[in-house]
Amino acid sequence: MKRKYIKTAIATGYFSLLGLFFIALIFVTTEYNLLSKEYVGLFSPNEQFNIHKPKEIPIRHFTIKGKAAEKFQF
Amino acid sequence: MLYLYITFCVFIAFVIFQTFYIIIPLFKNEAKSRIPVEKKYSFSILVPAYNEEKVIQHCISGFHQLKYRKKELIIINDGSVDNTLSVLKKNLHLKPYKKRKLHKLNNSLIHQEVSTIYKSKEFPNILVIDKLNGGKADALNAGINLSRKEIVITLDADSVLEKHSLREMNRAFQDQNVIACGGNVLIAQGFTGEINNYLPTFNIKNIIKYQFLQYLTAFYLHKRAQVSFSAITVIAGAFGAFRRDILFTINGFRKTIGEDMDITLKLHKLIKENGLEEKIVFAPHALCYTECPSTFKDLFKQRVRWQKAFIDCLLYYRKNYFTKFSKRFSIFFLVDQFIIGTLNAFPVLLTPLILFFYDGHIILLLMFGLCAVFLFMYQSITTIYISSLHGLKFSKSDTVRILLFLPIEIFIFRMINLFFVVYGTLTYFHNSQSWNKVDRSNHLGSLKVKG
Repeated sequence: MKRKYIKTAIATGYFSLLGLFFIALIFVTTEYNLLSKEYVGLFSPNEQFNIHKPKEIPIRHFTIKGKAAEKFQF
Repeated sequence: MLYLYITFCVFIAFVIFQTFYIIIPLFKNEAKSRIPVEKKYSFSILVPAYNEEKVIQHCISGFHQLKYRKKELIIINDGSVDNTLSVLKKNLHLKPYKKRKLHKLNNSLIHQEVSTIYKSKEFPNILVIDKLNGGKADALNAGINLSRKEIVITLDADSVLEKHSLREMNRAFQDQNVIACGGNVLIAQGFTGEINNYLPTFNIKNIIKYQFLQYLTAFYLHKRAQVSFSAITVIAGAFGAFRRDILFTINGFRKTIGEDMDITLKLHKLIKENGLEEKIVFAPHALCYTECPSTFKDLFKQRVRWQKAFIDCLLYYRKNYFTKFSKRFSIFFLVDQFIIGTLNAFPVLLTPLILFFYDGHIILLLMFGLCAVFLFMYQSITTIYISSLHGLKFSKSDTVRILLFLPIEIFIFRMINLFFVVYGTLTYFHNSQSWNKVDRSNHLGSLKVKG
């Protein structure tokens, strides 16, 4: 009888841990969108230190007036 | 993405097979399906010997210890270039034996020329065949021709049978449908004491620990689970039993480095093709102690040979899966042995590189890895428990040693084994039939085998 309990405990432990693992797997997969095409990795590129060249470079328009304008020639 | 989906499918298959290997043996009870013993079969034990001067005497001593009457031992000296024949002549007092004619021998299974057949003056149930070298399969075929008993047992020269092993084999063959039965092979270096009173120990070298655990898992878990699906993939060449007439039906052993796997596949094919009810079973109580490689060099040689043998059989029978082999067997052989056991070894070995260059799915890969570690650990712990139910009881200190060894086994030895698998697979296509004989450490000599 003791043997039967031990066997059942081993099997229950096994399926419980395996079940926990799959729950964790599903959670992580959905949380990080692991299966989506947009996912590029665990460490996504930081906006502030992005080394990628942006597609459009913003241009600020300004005008120089007065005496200073004479020193700049565009 | 495709790579990810393939990885996921292989992983799921791996989990399913591991679950079979853990749960089925746990609740399997061979005692319930035992048929009462009505017939006592006679056994011919065949021992092919090529350069086995160091260990052959222990094998003979083991034979003398057997508590079973109807038996004979046939040692086949396969053209040894050391003193194997001299040792046999000296210890067995051999004399030429002409009752079993040579021409009859040459008419049945094909093998290299036999020069002399000897019989022991002292032990009339021990015969020795001296023949030209032709390999293990060739030697076994010669032995089958000479044998006259109902059941033929193949045994390695570096192996010793436990005293009740033939009784257990006889029990397995009580079922008329059983045509072949695998014996339970244990690592001799994992035991101390006298034969038949061996005590398991884990106070051994790490390389032996790894093989000891691996054999226990393979025989107490994997084989017992495979038998439940009628899908036993190999009857170990170290200790297997076959009905003699069946061996003639399938033309004996094919000359290949994996003759044990090949004969198992031949039997599966025979069963499927003829729609027979015949069975291939496994007898966990029929024990045999064998020497395992004790150095990395020898382990490498052995594992590469095993892998080459597997690839050889895989390709040789490539047209037979699902048609001439049963579906269950084909699935076990192709999915568990080939995809998970062999193909999977390549990407697993490359995992560190994949992680280094591409962090795309690092979390998934780590989770798969963690799950594999958990499954391996659980499997090993289950193995220890099931072994204890079969009489292999480790002391408390040894149990602690096993638990401490498990991480080393999983992270180091299994990785090394993956390398062997990859290397063996690749070198098969370069040199498919080299045997790479392993040096005998003669540990059986340090165990007390009474002669």
